[in-house]
Amino acid sequence: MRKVFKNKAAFWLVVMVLILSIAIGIFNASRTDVSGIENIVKTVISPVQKLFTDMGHGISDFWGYFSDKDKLHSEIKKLEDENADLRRQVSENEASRLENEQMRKLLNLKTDNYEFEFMAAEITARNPSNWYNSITIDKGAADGIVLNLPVVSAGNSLVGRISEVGTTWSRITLLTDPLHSAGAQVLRSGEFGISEGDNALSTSGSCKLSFVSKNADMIVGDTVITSGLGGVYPKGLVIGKIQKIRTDIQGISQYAVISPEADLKNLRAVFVIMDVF
Amino acid sequence: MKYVFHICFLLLFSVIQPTWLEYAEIFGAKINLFLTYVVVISCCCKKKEGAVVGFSFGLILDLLVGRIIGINAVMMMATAFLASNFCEKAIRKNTLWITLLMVGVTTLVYELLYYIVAFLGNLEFAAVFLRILLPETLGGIIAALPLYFIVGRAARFLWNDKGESIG
Repeated sequence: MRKVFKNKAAFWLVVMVLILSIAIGIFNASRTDVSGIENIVKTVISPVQKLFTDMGHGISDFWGYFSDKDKLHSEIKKLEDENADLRRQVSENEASRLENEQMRKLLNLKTDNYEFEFMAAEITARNPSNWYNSITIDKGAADGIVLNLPVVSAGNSLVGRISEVGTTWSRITLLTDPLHSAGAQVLRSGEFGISEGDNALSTSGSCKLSFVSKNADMIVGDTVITSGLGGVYPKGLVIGKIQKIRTDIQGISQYAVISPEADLKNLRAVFVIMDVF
Repeated sequence: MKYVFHICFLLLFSVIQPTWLEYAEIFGAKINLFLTYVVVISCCCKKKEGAVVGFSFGLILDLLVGRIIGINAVMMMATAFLASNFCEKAIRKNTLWITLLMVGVTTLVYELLYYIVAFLGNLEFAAVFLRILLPETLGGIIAALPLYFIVGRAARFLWNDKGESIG
């Protein structure tokens, strides 16, 4: 080892690299614009990545068919039961909706149930690094995607937001990413907080609800939704369910570990909300 | 010829790392194929070549990760230079075990430095160590095994480098 560092050039190289890396880290950390070269590389490589992703899914599905045959049978049975239940609920809901509409007309109330315009997109790649949680989709500026649009999965479950836009691709920062945050609210009690990613939790696929007062009313199993505060996400997108509640080190406030509603690990397609506000 | 070989691996890893590696995670962490290849090449080839490969692979990784452009390029170039220097001066003879040890040590140190530089220590270290650093290091060592033999054979047959002592 001494021999390596006897060479002064090697020693100074290490020092220079450390200084340079820290400088790059500080000055480059919060950039959102995509450089020309980055756009070209990603635009060229994105279709190939999509092909590989599709191949990977094909192999995984084929393998899964044989390894999970029994599991699939019980799942089909469960889904059939759920389907029957949902059909009953739909007819009940339809009756309630009609009744609600009539009442609103009678009272002359405006509807606040805003219908979003969605754009479906396929996931072409995931972030190659362990430090960040992001995915790349096959829609970009050419399709009308702009920065900060919210992204959901089926059932209005929050996935994240658009953080980089290329010509034919975009990057989505997932809600479990350490750089992601969103105004949040506990659905049952109306308590406000901030949902944010955390590297310690993200490897287990969770995020946390922070800045909640010590006496806030929340229990394990509560649903957390977006509060609509902060200007990025509309109100009412489902973030997930509270898994654990913990008090912070100072003992002043508490935070909750949220298990996201969207299955972020197995996502294959997402919906970008095109008209947020 | 050797640069065509490196470019082929660069293209292959650029496609595989963000797509197929999610099926081969070690305790929830992805293997850094770029870094593993750079260290294996550095142990098997010349200093200058290792540094060039390190910089190119790091830059492409930066573009794929998309957050801090340049950080992986600079760090991988230095890693390659030091690994090559170490193998050349301190050990002289390259063996499989030395390469695996180098991959393990450099992955651990590299990711530790990335953690310090990119997050300025702003994350819980114990969780980061157990959930990212250790599994990634283990994954790097496993991935280095086939890479060592592929690079060794290539060095022997495609170009006449230090490859005669390995593979």
